[in-house]
Amino acid sequence: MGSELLSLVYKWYCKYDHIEDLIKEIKQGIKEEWEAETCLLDISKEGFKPIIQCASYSKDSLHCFERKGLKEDFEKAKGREYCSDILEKKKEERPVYRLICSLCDTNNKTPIAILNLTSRDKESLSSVKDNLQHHIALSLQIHRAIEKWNSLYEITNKLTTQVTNLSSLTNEILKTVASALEAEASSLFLICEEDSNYLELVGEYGYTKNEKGLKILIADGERTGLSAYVAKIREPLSLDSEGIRNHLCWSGGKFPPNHLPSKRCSSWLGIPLINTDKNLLGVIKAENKKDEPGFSKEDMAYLQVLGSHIAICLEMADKYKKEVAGKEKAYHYAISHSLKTPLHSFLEAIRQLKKVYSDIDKKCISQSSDQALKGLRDKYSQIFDIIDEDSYKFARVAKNAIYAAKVERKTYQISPQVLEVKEIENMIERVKRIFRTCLRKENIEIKENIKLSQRDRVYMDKEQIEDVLINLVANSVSAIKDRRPREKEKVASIKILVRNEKGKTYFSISDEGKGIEGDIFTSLPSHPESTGLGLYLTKEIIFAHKGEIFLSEPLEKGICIEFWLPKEEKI
Amino acid sequence: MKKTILVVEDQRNHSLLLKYALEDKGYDDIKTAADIETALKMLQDKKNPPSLVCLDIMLPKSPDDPTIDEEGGFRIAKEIKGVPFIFTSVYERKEEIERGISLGAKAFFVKPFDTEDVAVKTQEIIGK
Repeated sequence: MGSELLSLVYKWYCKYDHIEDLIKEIKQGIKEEWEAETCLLDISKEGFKPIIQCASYSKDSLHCFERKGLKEDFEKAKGREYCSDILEKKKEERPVYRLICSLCDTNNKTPIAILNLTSRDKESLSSVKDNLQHHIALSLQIHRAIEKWNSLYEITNKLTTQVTNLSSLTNEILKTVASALEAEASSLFLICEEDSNYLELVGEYGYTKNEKGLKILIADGERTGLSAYVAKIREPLSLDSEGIRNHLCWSGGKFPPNHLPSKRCSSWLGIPLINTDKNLLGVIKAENKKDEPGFSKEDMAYLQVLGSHIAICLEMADKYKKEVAGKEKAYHYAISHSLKTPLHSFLEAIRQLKKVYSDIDKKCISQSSDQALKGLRDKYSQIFDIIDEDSYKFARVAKNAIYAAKVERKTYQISPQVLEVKEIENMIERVKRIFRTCLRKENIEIKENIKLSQRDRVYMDKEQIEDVLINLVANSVSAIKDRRPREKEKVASIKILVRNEKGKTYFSISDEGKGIEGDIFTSLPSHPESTGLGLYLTKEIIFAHKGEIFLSEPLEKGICIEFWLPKEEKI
Repeated sequence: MKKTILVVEDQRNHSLLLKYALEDKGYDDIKTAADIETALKMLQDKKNPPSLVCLDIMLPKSPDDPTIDEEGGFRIAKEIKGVPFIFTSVYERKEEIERGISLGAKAFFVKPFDTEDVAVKTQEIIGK
């Protein structure tokens, strides 16, 4: 029996890639051969969890030890290398034997699992006690290692699927590194695009609270921290608590406080990310190995292998981004050419046609006494109003679609410039002009109040902020229409207020509409005439200006949406 | 003196709208050319030189060769002597606009633009 079990254990060494298979095999092997109750308990940081259970054990394996009066043996096996005597227990006609032993890590002899075997075959328990205990422990250890390294395959596969989006790739990398190394925190630094002498923090996971975009100088003699040091020496570095405090990169130097590892940091592991051309891409680091004084050599080896793949993924992501940006440029050019240009000329044609018509009207129709001609004139004007209103609506939808395409593909940009107050006034005039037909029809007036002094300057992308105003006014018009579908005799107003406060320029647009519910800037509005993009894009445009947009205090009726734009140097 | 304006633009709709906008400002002699060859011929006509040239940049080579020369407008600009000119183009990159201005253009309008703005600029450059 002993030799059979030994061959079984050797089979475990070589055959199984996954711990589940190993467990199944132990379970079957022990159950079939030994016909008895068996339990293998994993000693984990959170407590004990059964990794295999056979026969009559309940889910709560710890409880089963207590129930059977084996607590003492169990406690011993938990703390050190231990093997109990073979205990005999009379049960039915044949005796039952029991053995409790610890399965220890072959390197440091600390128990990693407890084996609790019950069998009617005393000989097989003796063989476990004599030598198999260590084989089983080693097999368990090997399979845990195999399992961990095997997980790399899945991890790398998962990372590869994220290369189309750098920010989700970054998040996945950080999460993966922290969980694979059982670390409390992880951070990813990449070489700064504008200046390769700097590392830039692109993301963090866990307790660390550094600001994204934090830049750290990689240079000799500059005491800029452990990550910069790793980037400089291009070698992995693993430190325990004492190692961190005494590291030479701190010695004697002054360094910005936010480059220091946090006080909570008790162990540190960082590796340089180097691509296939041997260029440094950045540094990935993990902090605080859970329940251990430091990261092991195996952790470092693991992170290095993972790091090579991370470097490949980051390169792929970068390449993808550049390729997409190139294609996007062509795509947006195509859109602006094939949609925007003819649309603009269409609007121009209508404008000129109206002018021509009004000349004809002045010269011929208004002087004519032909009633039929006058009737036609009224019809003509009404049709023009429809074209006027709807063509601008159409233009707005098209423009929003172009913005949306850019925002979604993250190629959206603004081209801000300094504007004088006069230009803000003109902008609001243009907005009013766009809506004039609709405002007249709905009996709505726009009242503007520009509380800026002539010396004030506003920094913005003129075209895009004008689009923001158009979108907001369009929403207000819809809200007013919804509130009073039939009673248009009373004038409703939309107020546009512009003011300066603490160096910011505030725009507020308030209406007497039916109000809005929910998070209006993220969810898509439900108005039938809405493109569903207006407020979402408005928010993106304001964010691109590094400003903010929000719903101000509730009004008695209607809503007030406010946004502010910062001063020039802040954008 | 009668002021002639030459509009070099291959999109008929655009040249027509621009023509009408200019006519609206009182310029009644608007000539149009839709390709490089025709434009250069018109510029060589010494009898009736234009007061201003409105130049698109991407233009077909000739009436018989519709191949687009992506720098056609720049080429024409180099041949213009002593006549103010402005560019109207889909190019919106800074480098191209700067290149246009460095060739001596009085203004650069990125398409789509308001024809009214071009007409106002024309008034500023050559007067009514």
